[in-house]
Order: sequence, then structure tokens, then C-alpha cells
Amino acid sequence: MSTRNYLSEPKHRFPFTKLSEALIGEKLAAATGPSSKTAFATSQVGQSLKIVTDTGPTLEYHFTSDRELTVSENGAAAVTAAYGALELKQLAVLSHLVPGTQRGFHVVVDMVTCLATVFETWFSGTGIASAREVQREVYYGYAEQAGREVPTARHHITNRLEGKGIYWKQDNEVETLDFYCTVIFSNFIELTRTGGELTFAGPSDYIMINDHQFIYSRVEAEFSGMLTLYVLDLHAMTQAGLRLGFDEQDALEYYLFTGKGEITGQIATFEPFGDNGEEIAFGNRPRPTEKGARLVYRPLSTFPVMTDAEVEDQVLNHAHAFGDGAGSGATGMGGYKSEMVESMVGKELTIRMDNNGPAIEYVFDEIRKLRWRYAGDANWREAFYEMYEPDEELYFFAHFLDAEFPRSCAMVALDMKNGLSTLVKGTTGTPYRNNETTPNYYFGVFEMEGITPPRYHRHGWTDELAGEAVTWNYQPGNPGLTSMHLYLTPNSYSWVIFLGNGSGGMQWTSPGWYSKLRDDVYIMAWVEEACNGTLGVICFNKRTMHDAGFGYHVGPNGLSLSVVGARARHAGKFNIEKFLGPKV
Amino acid sequence: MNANNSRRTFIRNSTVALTTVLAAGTASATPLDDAALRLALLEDSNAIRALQQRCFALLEQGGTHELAQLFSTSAAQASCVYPALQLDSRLDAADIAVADDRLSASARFHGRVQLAAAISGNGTAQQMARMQGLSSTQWWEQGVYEAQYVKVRNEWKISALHYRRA
Repeated sequence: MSTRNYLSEPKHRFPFTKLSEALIGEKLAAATGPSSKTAFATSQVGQSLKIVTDTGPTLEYHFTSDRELTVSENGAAAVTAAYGALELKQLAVLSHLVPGTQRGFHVVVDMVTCLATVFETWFSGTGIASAREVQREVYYGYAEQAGREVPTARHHITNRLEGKGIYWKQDNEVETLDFYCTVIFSNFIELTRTGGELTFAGPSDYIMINDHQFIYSRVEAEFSGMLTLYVLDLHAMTQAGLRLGFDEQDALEYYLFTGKGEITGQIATFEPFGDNGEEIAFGNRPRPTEKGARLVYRPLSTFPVMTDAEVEDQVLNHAHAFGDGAGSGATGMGGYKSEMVESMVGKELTIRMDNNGPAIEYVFDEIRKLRWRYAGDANWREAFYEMYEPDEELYFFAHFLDAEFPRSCAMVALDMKNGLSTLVKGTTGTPYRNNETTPNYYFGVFEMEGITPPRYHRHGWTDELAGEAVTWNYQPGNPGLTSMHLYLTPNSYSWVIFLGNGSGGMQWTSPGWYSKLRDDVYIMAWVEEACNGTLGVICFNKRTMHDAGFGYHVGPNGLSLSVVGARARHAGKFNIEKFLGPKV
Repeated sequence: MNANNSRRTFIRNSTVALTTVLAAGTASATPLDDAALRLALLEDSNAIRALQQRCFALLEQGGTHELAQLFSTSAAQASCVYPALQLDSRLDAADIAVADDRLSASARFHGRVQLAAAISGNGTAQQMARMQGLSSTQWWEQGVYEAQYVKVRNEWKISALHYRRA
């Protein structure tokens, strides 16, 4: 019996219930305030506290016990609410729901500076598809103190956490790896809750209290909608915060927690010096102004649903590889592609994969055209291909396979120095979506005149890249078209898209597969599951910091096989190997 | 652009040009009409430089209608090769040569230009970039503008304009 927790479906596939506003209201009405493993703070009992915010409410509290308070919002009649509070050094975190509503307030007060930050949260947000997704608005202000001048300083957003990774263990034994790699999103790996196989990302807030204390929040938008919010202290490596939302069983999860942490690493950041993230660089889009509005990547809402007939039509009648033989231009993801390999023209070989995998014969007739057939077949098929050389005498090429539905492509690595071959066969369709791609991975050899293939050596799986961060510049410019890959687990990765000023922006995640061909040369493959279904496979040379790769995608505009060619920079590494993988 | 005995060449540093005129006036008994011609050529050069700077400003502002007014004919503009999206320019060095008849001229401008191109493709990265307010990729490069001018109703107009990466 497994002692690790795994979901029946990974988070991005999990069928989270579309809770109705009425049902959410019922569940909240039954709540009795947050729970906590750590004893609640008591120093405030019998005291009053008035929080004044610049753009939000004025909240007047009276703490009748360590579990019950009264609160008046903007001078209205006070209501009684269950609450909880924790202290972390001079910071107090208090949290309560507003009875009879779907709202709550979560207040961070610095009892030395009297500065305060208020998160107002609510469910059943207007215009939000998922009523269970916690919405939030952040207000900055202060705690009014008799006889004390109103402070002019305020907490504010920041990029001073950007690039850090921290392992946290909460007081309830829940372990998580958090990665603060952008200014508006973050990654997390749930070691305890979901077994630590995959990383996920969610919209996040980063607020600076001082140089070593911050407020962080994230919402698992597109998943459960759960809010995690905490203050963290980088001197003591401690945290105190709360969880609010509905879990996979639709039970209300509402508790406060403390935790201890360990920094796993600090990767590079790319803003100009002196830019401390006190403004988000929204570029040419309007700054969000509506209450609760924020940049959220919602791939599920943009991922088109297609019928089987529609996908079949696209893969059979609208399939295009490399510009239909005219060649891939240096557009899109191929802005830095290398020169194509010509030296294989006229050559013939067979790739032969282990464990009854495919054996495919090839004749490279021209620089862009080859013939192929499965070993044993009588008939040759013609296909357009492109071949690149990501390392010396290591070739990587791709082409469509038979015109059938589902349809496949072959992405083949030929390691001429070692007689080895690796094949990634991408086939349209997964058990979830017909316009996603299923990759099948094979290790094997190739047979060619004058070359004896090895019997035992093989390319193989690796976790050497786990924790690495690499930027990929696909088009000239700063940031141009640039992403940052975070190879956070051996089974997944995350990509970050940069904002105009070099800050990390939105990000998303997908399952991934990593294999090693040679020292410093890897194949990294991913499928943008529950996103747009694309299979991406790159052969990454860490010596040249360059890649050669291909993308395979089916959608309403056809089936495409295109080139990826980008220039990389190493952005750092998180030391997280000890947290990942099967445990003793 | 090679020096041509039928053209007077002015380097951007107008102080040099002026000094040359003064020096010529001081060093020998230059006829008044020759000095006047030199002054007129200098004025032409300055007018051409102003015309070209206006052209660059309109390229960067996207002032399509006004830009058309700077060209001698619409056909001339249509045959020109210049970047679709120019954001900024630091074109300092300019070689302007005005013909003796003061009815035509040529010029070459060197320097750094900031160009842009719309983000192409509709993959995930491109979609996310556009969602975040990034619609184009931008970069700086060394560039050269080569231009031809004609005088139309006593006003300089661009008759040819060609951009290339240096």
C-alpha cells in the first residue's frame, strides 16, 4: 500500500467540481473559523485594532477571545466572526470570514511600523468561470495608533523574492517546494499533498514588508482555486499563513499554519539594475483596474475543443511539415535555428528501437526530402524533413509518419559517434483530448554501412537537469520572444514568459521527459497538456547553450511540424534533488 | 558613396563645413558668388538633414500620411526599402552630397536603429507574450540609410530611400 499521496488524476486533469455559489455559501456558513496546529496568538485578546487602508475598507476589530472578534467595516454595524491569528516576530497574521457572505479578510500587521496589508477574498467572483476560485484584492494601509502619526510608508509589491526557491515544512507536516520565479506567478511542488511528481503554477502576489520579510500569496486558478497566503522571514526561515479554499473532495480547507523553511536556490533575474519591481510592466495592455483583476493564464478556456472528425480532417488534409518542403523560416520558435545538415544526403540507414519499438529504414534523398518505411514494408513513403547537428556528429531530424488518424511524427536523434538512436514518436490524441499529443519514447541503435551498433550502450533517462533554470531566446530582442524553462522535477517543467522589463511574467507547466544522449547533451520533451496540446522536443547542448528541436501540433488550423531553434543562457539551479523521486 | 567632382560633400559636423567656408574666404580672394554658392549648398545640406530627421521621426511615430508628404512621388515612396517598424534611431554620421545645380542630392546616414517586428506565430509562448502586453520583438542594430533627394518647387523631397543593416 502506497504511503505517499497521489491524486487519482494529476492536478491539471483533475475534474474539480464546478461548485455553485449556493453550495459554496452553505459550506462557508457551516465554517467555525480557521483551525491551526500551532496555538493561536492571544496577546490581542481584549484589545481593539483599527486598520485604515488607502483604497479599501477601514476595519475596526475588537478581539473578545483568541477565536472570536467583532469587526466593523467602514463604520457599519459590527458583526461577530470566528477568527485566528498567528505571530511571526513583530508580524501578526489574522484571518476571518465575514458571516453571511462569501468574503473574508486576512490582515498582516507589522506591530513595530504599524503598517498593514489587507487581503480581501471572495468566492463566486463576477465574470470568473469557476466560483470555487478564490478572488482577492490587496489593500495597503496602517494600524491606527492613538498618539502616533499616520505612517507615510506602505508595504508594496516587489521583485525582491524573484528567483528564490524555498522548501517549507508546515506545522502539520505538509511539505512543499515553492519557487518564486516571476513577479506575478509562482511554482509549487506538493511533496506531501500530491506526491511531488509534477510542478504547477498559479497567479501570485509578492509584497515587501522589509528587506527580509515578505507577504506571498498564490491561487491555484484553473485547478482547485485554493488560496495559500503567508508571511515569510528570510532571517529565521520561518513562515506563518493560511490556506483557504475547497480541496479535491470539495471540503472547505481553512486553517492557519506556521512552518520552517530551507532555501533551495536563487536563480538569475533579468530586470535592469535598480528596478525593484514596484510596478508591473504591463506593456501595451491596460493595467487591470477592476477589483480582483489580475493577469491569469487560463489555457483551459482558450484550448479549442475539436471533434474527432475535425481532428481527422486536419491531420489528413491540412498537414504541413517545414513549410511543405520549402523550409522553415527563422520565425516563431526557430529564430536561431542552425544550418541544416547536408552531409546525410544520399545516405541510407535503419533505426532500430529496443523492446519491439519501431524499426524504420531511411534514404535521405535530398536536404529536405527523405524516403522512409517500417522495416519489412515493401513501399517507401516520401516525407519532408529537416535535420540539424546539435553536437558533433549528433543529428536530430523529424518528419511526418503515415497519413492516418491518429497521425504520428518521428523525431530522431542519430548519435553517429556511438551508434545510438533515440526516437520520440508523437501521435495525435490522448485519453483526454484528441488535439493533444501522446509521446512514445524509444531508445535504440541505428544500422548503417560501416557502423556496428552497440549491444548494451544506450541513451537513457536522466534527472540531471532537475532544478536547472535556462532562458531560451527564440527571436532577437530584449526580451524579444524569450522564455525561461524551469526543469523542476524529472517528470515536468515550467515555462516563464518575460515581461517587457525582463521581469518574469506568466508561467505554465506541463509533464516532461528528460533523456541524456552524451555528456552535456540532452533531449527534453514535453506535451502542453490541458493547454494547447503541442509536443515539443529539443536536443539541448549545454556546452553551446543552443538547441535543435521540433514542435508537433494539431489544431483548427491544421497539423504542423515545425522547427525550434533558440539560444540559451543558464539562469541557475535549485538544489532539490533530495526532495524528489521515490523515497526510501 | 564615392566623392564626385560634380558634387560638394558635407560631413555632418557643420562646424567643419563652416570652417572650410571661412577658411576658403580667408585664405584666398574667393569670388562672392562662390561663397554664396557654398552657403547655399550648406543650407541645402541642413534642409536635407532636417527632412531626413523628420522622416525618421515619422517612421518611429507611425505617421503614415505625413510621411508620404516627404516623398517626391507616391511611386518613389512605394519603391523604397525601409523597416516596417522603427522605434528609435541614433543616426549620427551623415554624408550628404548636393549637386552643383542644387536640384538633386544624395546622402548616407550611419548609426544605430531600434527596429521591431510583430511577434509571429500562435504558439503558447507567443500567446502568453501578447497577453502580457508584448506585441513585438525589438532590437538595436547598426544600420545605414541611403537616400536620394530632388528639389520640387524649391523644397527638398525624398526620391529614394533604402535601409540596410551595416
